Amino acid sequence: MEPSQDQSTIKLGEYIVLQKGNFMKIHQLSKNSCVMLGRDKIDLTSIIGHKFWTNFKMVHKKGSKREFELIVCDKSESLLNLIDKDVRGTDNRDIWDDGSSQLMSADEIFKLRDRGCSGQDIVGQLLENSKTFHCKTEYSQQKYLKKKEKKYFEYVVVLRPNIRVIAQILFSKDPQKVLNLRSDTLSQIVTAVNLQPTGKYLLYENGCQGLVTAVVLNHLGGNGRLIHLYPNLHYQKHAVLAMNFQQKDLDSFISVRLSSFLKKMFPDSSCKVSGPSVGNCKLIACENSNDPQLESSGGLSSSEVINGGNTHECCERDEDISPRRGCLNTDDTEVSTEEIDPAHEPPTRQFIETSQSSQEQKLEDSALISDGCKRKSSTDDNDAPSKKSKWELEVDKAVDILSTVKADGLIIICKEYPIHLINRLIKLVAFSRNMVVYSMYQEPIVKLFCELKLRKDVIGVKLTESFLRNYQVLPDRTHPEINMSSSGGFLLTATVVSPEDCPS
Amino acid sequence: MSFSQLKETIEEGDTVILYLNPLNLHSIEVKPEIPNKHDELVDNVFQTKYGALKIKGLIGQKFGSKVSLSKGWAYVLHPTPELWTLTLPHRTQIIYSADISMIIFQLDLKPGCIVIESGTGSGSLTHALARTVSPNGTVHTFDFHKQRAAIAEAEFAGHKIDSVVKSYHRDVCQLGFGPDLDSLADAVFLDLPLPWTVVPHAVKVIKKSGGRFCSFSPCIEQVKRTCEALHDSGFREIQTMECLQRELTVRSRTVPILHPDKEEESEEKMTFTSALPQPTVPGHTGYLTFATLPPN
Repeated sequence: MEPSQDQSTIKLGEYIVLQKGNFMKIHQLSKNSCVMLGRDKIDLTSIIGHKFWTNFKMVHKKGSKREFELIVCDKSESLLNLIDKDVRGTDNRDIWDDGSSQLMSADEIFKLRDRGCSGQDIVGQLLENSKTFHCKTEYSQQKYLKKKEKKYFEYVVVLRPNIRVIAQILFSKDPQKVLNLRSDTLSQIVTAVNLQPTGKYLLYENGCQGLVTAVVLNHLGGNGRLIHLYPNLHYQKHAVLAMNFQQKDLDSFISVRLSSFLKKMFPDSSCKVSGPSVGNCKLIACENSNDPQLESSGGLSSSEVINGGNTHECCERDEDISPRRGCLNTDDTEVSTEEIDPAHEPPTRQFIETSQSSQEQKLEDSALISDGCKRKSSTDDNDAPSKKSKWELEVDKAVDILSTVKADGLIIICKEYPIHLINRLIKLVAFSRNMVVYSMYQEPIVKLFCELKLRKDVIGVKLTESFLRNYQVLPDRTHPEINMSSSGGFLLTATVVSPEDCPS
Repeated sequence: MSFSQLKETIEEGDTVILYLNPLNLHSIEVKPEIPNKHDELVDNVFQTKYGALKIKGLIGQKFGSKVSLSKGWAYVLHPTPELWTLTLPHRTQIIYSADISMIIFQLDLKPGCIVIESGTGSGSLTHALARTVSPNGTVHTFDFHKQRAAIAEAEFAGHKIDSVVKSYHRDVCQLGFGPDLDSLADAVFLDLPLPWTVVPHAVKVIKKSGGRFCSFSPCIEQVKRTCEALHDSGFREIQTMECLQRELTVRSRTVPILHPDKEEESEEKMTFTSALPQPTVPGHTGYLTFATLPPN
């Protein structure tokens, strides 16, 4: 898309990661962009054109307490430099918590801050007025300052988003919003499906903000194919957008709505269902697994399946018919706008609206957001009936690809119980290729495990969970971190094989 | 082309994985004839628990199909780095898939990247690295053991990944990675007894625009010294972690329902599906230390 492939400079319109101490945030850089970090409002105008990894210092804007602008600085001053190496205690036997060790009152401290004192100055004063700091041990002093640093740290580093950082940010912010998909499990999906850059992969993702889509695209690097199936009128693409993919990375990306794809791929099995078996995480309507009609709904049926008509109308009706869906949609909107960022919010909203009206899912279009998003939203719909709209062409392309050669892997990450979807899609996977299913809950994936065990065309069905522990490594103070993530979800892997017996 | 390119049909020279059950896998090179002890070419026959397999018969079969053994059957599977990890001939301790996955993810690897690995060992990680950076990236892999380096190099050629993997016999602790790789690498991976001695060499080979570093060490003392060296060499985001994957065994279980008031055992039963890890599982493989070298 961009003529210059320079990836080392901070550019307008691109997504960036702001790192302040241990806190990180994804943000799309627009003109006159401001971002909230905690309660601080930060003007980002000055960072454009600088290299990533530049250190910026937060400086108070004139006349405001919590508004800052960023100026380039050599390196961030650590508060740990305030420690006077000669003054320290050996243990805490003489330190008593009587509430009087700090001589400054809370009011006085607030006043320092309101006067625009730097964090360094404020903490310096806190130490001067502390009766006990100098009696603490060296380690205890460091711990105290690290705690203060969280509050008073005033340096920001701007990083280029990559999949590792995005996964980390989304997971630590709210694991539920990425279905508890922790980075170790995410990394295992890539290896378990044997993701070869030149391969063709089939992915159904619902509920993790495009994280898995972004991972697969990252690993294809524009070489193979990703056929991405999404459930509703628009898919979650937060992570995909944040990756700042170049056009060449997106060349391998075909994104189609699941129901449209299935209808075209399997025209024989009619998609009529008697009731709206709306997909959710409950194992509803899945018991009659041999019923081909039910099977066709894949537990994911939308209203389109019911009336089999124009998808656009159905998109809107979806929300009316199913309260569950409506709920999902608000969820999505919340996901994409929650970055509490006034500059970011309008384009995102706008995107969702346009995508509803035009049903186009190509990412380059969404990437136009930054350019003002002048989209030909209605042209596709109003074209002569003979001419296919863009999304139809995408469906055709996906079907064409899978009709000639089967997929090299199947990945399913969703909130729903996917047995019917698997029954359908497994036919599109080549022999001796792997499938991976992720679930944040153990119970449904155990059930799925049992169902797949009965099939003749999958072997090596394996159910795993993963464990990830981070360590504090400091001289004489190395130990596991106090808090750890207790669950990273469950992964089911299996290999698709020929169900035929060997000729003997 | 069996590792580097996914394909449908087995040809002579391919490596295939013979799948008897999840715990009984073999990697086989498809050579229809092999020399016997009198140096005469004879039919290559592979012996398994369920009888013999004539290798010649594999040619032309589809990957993922059933083949008959003299006393049963098995599946022939397309090789993957993960299956190779499970079946490769061990010349050293190897790194397994959970750690491999995390290493690839945390090193920010993708097609086109240049990654340096030391030591090569049995080549378990190397295959997965090669897959990730292919088709246009490179894995430069170093081992100080001459024979191991040579065997690994032959294996990479046999698996047709030698266009992506360059093997070297060299002691990187003593000699570094050599001037040819200066400022070329996107990432460096170390699995060495003294990784901290290589940190300065890693700084030299990482691109001017910055890159990632990983060290895999079984012992915490190694981690401590490595972290100090990383800190001193200007690395940022230094993070140590441990990552394990546990397999859950799924079983259907039936237990009687206990009625405290009745004397005799109840007829009433409760049936459920259990999913538990094995009674003993690997609890430690190694510590993974990651770090970023920012642009200079």
